[in-house]
Amino acid sequence: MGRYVLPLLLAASVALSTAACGKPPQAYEKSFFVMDTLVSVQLYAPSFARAQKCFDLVEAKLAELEGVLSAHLPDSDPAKLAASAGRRPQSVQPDTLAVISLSLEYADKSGGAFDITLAPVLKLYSFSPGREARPDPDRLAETLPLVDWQKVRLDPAGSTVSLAEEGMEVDLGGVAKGYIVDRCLEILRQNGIEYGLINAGGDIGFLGAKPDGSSWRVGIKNPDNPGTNFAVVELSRGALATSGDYERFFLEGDLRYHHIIDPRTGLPAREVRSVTILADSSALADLLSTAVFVLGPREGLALIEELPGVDGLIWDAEGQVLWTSGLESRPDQAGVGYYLRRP
Amino acid sequence: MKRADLIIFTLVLAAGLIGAYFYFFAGGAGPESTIVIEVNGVVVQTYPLYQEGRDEYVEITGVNGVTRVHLEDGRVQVVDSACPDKVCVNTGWIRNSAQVIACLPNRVIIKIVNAEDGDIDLR
Repeated sequence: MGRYVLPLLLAASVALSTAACGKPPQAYEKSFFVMDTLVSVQLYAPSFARAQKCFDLVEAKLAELEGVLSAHLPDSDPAKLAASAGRRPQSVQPDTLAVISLSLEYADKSGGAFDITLAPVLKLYSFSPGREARPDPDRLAETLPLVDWQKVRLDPAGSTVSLAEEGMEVDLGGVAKGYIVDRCLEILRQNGIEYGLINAGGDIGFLGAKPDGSSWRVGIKNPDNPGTNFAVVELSRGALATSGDYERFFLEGDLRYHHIIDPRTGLPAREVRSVTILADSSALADLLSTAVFVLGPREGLALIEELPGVDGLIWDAEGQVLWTSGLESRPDQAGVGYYLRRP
Repeated sequence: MKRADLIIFTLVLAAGLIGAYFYFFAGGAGPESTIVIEVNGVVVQTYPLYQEGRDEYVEITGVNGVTRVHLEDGRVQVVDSACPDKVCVNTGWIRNSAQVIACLPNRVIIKIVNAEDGDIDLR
């Protein structure tokens, strides 16, 4: 029998090594409910155990960041900031500092079209069926002076933020989901995951292309018929975010009241119906999709054309589709436009 | 090596390669289009997407109460759910790959996997 050992071992090792070289990582997916959003994590891992470890780490990070950043939770930094507004600087977590710092930078670049101090106005609206509400003009006029990003003071050295006037509040809803996606992608990267994505209700961050090297294809909803796509965007890196007026809204006659409010007027922005942003980070894509929505097609496109690594696709109020010079349009297929980033 | 060694070597190698082929390649062929229903991250029901003549209502118990789901041949929708905003009901029918209906308050997710139009990864 001994004489068979060598050939057996040899053959087995050749077969195994052939198999090991050809073994692709398997796809795993898990969803979490965080910040009133479904957060879906798709990753390719060499084993179930590795995937499970990543899911556990992501779940813990999601819970931690929600607790820090969500204005609806009593111990969050936005809640503490509201309580100390007009009185004293409030010390905050490094994540909050990072999110507010990025938000103020782009509040400036967008001329106030993106503004985290919109919170007191947002509270005057409700989009829940049966409880629809919008502010009457007097109430809005009283509240609007509290909306001013220039009254937010950031002290990175002391890790504090202060809101200049009592009654001011911050809501990080327009950027926090994207920021959370970026942080969770870091966790995947640190754990050796090369392929995957995180989708937090349309704020999508990618680790890279698909394992076969092809691009991800993301369908963009038609605002007139959100069950269908008007476009498909192909990308293999970075992040994508879409803001649309069809997500949370109610109708008064023909007038649509939706959740993307112009901080300068306190009223829903009406020049566009859907904005998709492609950027290097999910936080940036998230906040720019709101900023461009508020700015409207002309000013919005001008803003993102100036920003390196940022592209965008807009469906305007007339149903016209516009896009930045960094995107290449392929011929429509069955009425759906295909867009990909120029190399 | 003797002749017998060579035969054994060849047989074991062939068996290994054939096994590896079936393990890594043949297993991935054409999974069926499926409606998957999850509650709180756990799959509770699956149905084939296509079933001729189907007109079926099923009740899924979520964390707050019942989500009523309507299944037809090739599509699915939520008709009622234990939630305040009815975002899930307003989503309407889904019929394509990567489409999802989510009732967040009730922690119910309904999604379609491996539909025949599978060239879009996310919607």
